[in-house]
Parts: sequence; structure tokens; C-alpha cells
Amino acid sequence: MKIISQLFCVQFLASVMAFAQADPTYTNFVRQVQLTNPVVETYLSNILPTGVNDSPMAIKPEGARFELWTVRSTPLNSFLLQSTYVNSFVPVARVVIDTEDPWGKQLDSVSYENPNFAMNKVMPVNTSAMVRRTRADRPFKVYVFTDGLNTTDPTAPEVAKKVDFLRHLQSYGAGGVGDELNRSQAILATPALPQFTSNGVQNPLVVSLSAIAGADRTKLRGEETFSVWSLEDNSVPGRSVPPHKLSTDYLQIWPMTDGSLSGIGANQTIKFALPKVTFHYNDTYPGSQTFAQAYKGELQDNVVGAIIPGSHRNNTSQVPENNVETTGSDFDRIFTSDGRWTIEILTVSPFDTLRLDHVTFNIDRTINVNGNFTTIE
Amino acid sequence: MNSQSIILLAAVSFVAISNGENLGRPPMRKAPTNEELVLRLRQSEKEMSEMKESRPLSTTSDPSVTHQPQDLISSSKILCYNGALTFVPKLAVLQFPQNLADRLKAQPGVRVQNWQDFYAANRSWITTVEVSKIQAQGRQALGEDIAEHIVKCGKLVVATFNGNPISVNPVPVRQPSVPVSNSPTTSKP
Repeated sequence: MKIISQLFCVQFLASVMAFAQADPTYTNFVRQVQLTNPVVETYLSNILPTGVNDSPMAIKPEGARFELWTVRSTPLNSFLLQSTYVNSFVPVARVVIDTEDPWGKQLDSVSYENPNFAMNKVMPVNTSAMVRRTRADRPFKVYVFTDGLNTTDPTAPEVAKKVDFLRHLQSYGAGGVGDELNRSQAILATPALPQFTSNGVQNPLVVSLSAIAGADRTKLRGEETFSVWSLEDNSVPGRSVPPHKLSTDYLQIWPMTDGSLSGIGANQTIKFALPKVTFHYNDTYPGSQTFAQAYKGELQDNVVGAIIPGSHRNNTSQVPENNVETTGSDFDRIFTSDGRWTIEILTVSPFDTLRLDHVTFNIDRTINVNGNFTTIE
Repeated sequence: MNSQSIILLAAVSFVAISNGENLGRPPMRKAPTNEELVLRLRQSEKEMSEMKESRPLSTTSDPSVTHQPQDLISSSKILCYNGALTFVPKLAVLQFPQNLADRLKAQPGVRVQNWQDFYAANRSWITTVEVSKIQAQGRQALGEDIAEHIVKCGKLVVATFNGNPISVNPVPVRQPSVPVSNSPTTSKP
């Protein structure tokens, strides 16, 4: 049984790497809560960023909860990185969320579409310490693997036959990016999801749209958490083991980008130099690129035009950004002939290319010279 | 009178139009409106509701609220001295002399240490007592010699299990059995 707890310690430490590996102001603790009555707590505190430790106490027969904490010295604060319940008969679960955005997904993992899933039951693999993300209007999938459930003995206690599957929702609020988030305030989604009663890789739950709170559904920002929990164990008289989280994964939902351009009016006729044009980009998706392009003619889809100098922005951060860009000095050179021209703002993300705004106008730089020629003999 | 038009700018179009497959970027999509997303959300909720017919539903009482691990700092005993502090379970401190009470509070600006390093640097005022699992559960009292040592050593005493701080629950005090009353029963006249 100690081997099991050792394995869990390895998993804990992998999480620590992302948080406190190179920072000497963080100290890591593993709290083993032995679920006897009353409970007994032991602290393991010589925790290196990587490595393996024996659990201080064997987990049989009552089971134990292992909590991985990291403590910051200045200012003094503690952070729970992971919590796992271990017992000799507790089912095992693994939750993996997949989105159309490959950020945080291992390169050799199955695609979002996962066309051969029905045949080979392969789940995607995410990179540790990277949070999967998607946009407010896009779907995502939740894969769950379960093992150790008793599917043959109808007289087995409920705790051995079923696990709960929970969905929690939490909005970051207007303009929020999830800093200092109190996750204990996440809301349990309704209606409740079905329990799992069989072992193996379950058919993925396809969530067509995030359900986090927000009056404007295009501007959601927050996170959804999916977790598998054991049931409360009352199988032994006089001893009640509370439900424990067996596995969890979460994703971030970011708003749709909007944008506008100003400086040129629709159908305006420009006879001389083009005016300065300003581009406003709001909530650019992390990893996206947003720019304005110009092309001759009326508004059309899927056109490659000339990118307007000074308009291009890559969002290289992990949260949405707002930008204001203006045209550069060589803006005018793009418009090489008279006629109808269109400028449009596009944002390109892993999901699609969206047009945020556009304007179509006229350029008429032809100079008509009217003169009289007379001759004198 | 002759009229003459002079074109000053050459019309050279460099615009390429493609069908969207060779753009080097994902094809364009019309951004959904808020109203469209509201309708899609309702459809999604309907699909979720229909799933309940396949298997029994999960709990609707949130276990993450009722079984949230307690914050490590507030649920631990702090040992702090000489610019360093560490944490042990609250019930791990079996004895502390009153003159060391100020070392059970965090001082500002100190660094957090693991138990082993902190104990090694503070053996002058901390000592440990190894306990068994059943003693930690409160099912067996500590031996008399150990109890006497704890009282007389004059140091802060931390209970350990395999060298790691461990909480020790008090042994329940057995209530003396209530003697059976000998008073005569009253009977109705």
C-alpha cells in the first residue's frame, strides 16, 4: 500500500515543479490526513521539486487524503496545489478536457475530432501545468477514464459501484483574468451530470457551449471544472468516509474579440492622402493575431489583402488583451489605384478567422486638367 | 478647346482572392451574436437534461464545499524563531513552556523552513517524542515515563511518527458508570 502512496507523491511533486521549482521563497508540504475517527494528520515537509517520498503512515485500512501545499514566505500565504484520496478499494479516475485550441495539449496527442475514438478509445493528453482554454462560442469535450468500480457484484456497497461526475462554473467577472480566484466559490452546475458505473474510457461529454454566468454570452470569461468524486462511504458501521475528489481538470473560457476602425467613413471619397485610421481591438484571444487589411473592391470573404502597417497585433499573453493601433506613415502606398476599396479588421485564432469591422470607400485621385490652347500665326 | 485627362496613378492591383482554402489561416466564419449563443446554450442545457435518462445522477450537494481541505496555515501550529518558521499539526505540540509562547506566532519577514531544517536549528528548545498510530488516534495513552519526560523537560515537545510531526488526539475520558438507583419505585395508589 505504501507503493500506492509513493506514486501519489510523485504526482504531487510534478505539480510543484510548475509552481515553486526555482523559487526559494516557496516551501512545500504534504499533509497526510489519515481518515480514522478522529482523524490523524502528519506533515511531510522535506519536499523537493522533483523526487519520491514514502508516505509517513500506511494508508490501510481507513484511507488517507494527501494534500500538496506550497507556502510562500513573504507575504506568508499557503496554496493548495493538489489533493488526492487514496485507499485500498477506492476507484480510480482521470479527467481530461480537450478543446479546439491546441494550447496545453501534447503534440502527439489525438486531435480534437478524434475520429477513431469509437475504435481505439484513446484519450487526449495535456501538458502538465498548462491550462486548456477555449472561446465563449466554441464547444469542448470532457474525457473520463474510470477503473476499480465493482460492476459484477450487485450486493457491493454503492461506494464501490459508482462515482459522481461534477461540473463547476465560475465567472471571472467583467475584465477578470482569474487572478486571486477563490475556487471554493465555484457554483455546482445544474442539471447534475450522470454518475459513472462502468470502467474504462467513457464516451466524451461534448459541451457545445460554456454555461458560466454572463448576460452577454459573447463576453464570457471564467472557468469550468469537471471532477470525479467517490461517494460517501457508510459501508462500515460507525465509520463514515466523506466523498473525495478522485480527479479533476479545468479549462478557461475567454470572450469573443470585438473591434472597430475609425477615421474613414463608409462610401467616403478620398481625393488626396488617406486620413489616419485608428483600430480598436477588444478582448483579443490568447495566441491570436489581429490586423487590418485592405483590398480593392467591395467587401468579400476569405480575401488576402495587404496588411495595413501599424495595425498588426499578436496576443502572446495567456489572457485577453485590448489594443489601440493607428496607421503608419506608409499607409497611403497600399492604395495604388482609384476605385472602390475595402479595409477590414480580422482576428485569426485556432478556431477561425472573424471579421470585426470593415469600411468600403472610394479613392479618386485622378486630376482632370481643363485648358484652352490657342495658336497665333 | 481640347479636354485632356491625365491619369497620375497607375492601377496595379496586388489583391489576390482565393476560395479560403489556401489562405494559410482558418477560413472565415460569421461571429455568432449574443442572441444566437443564448439559443445554443438552451439547446445545450436541454441535451444535458436528456442525459439523466441514461444513468443515475450525481449528487446535487456540492462535496467540494463540505469537504474542502482547511488552509494549511490556519489549521497548523506555527513554530517561529530566529528568522525562520515551520508548520506542524495543531495537536502535534504536546507541551510548551509559557516562556516560549511567543515562538508559536509568525513574525513578519521570516522564511518558511521544512520541519527537519527547523528542528535541527532549534534543538535547544524543541524536543520530539515518537508515538504510535494508536496513540495518535487517542486509543492508547502515552507511557508514564514519556508523559513525565514531557512535563519535566522544559522544552516544547512535538509528537512525531517516523520523524514527521503528527497530531495526537487526547484519550477520551471514560465517564464513571452511574450507579443504579435503589430508591423504591412509586406505584399509583
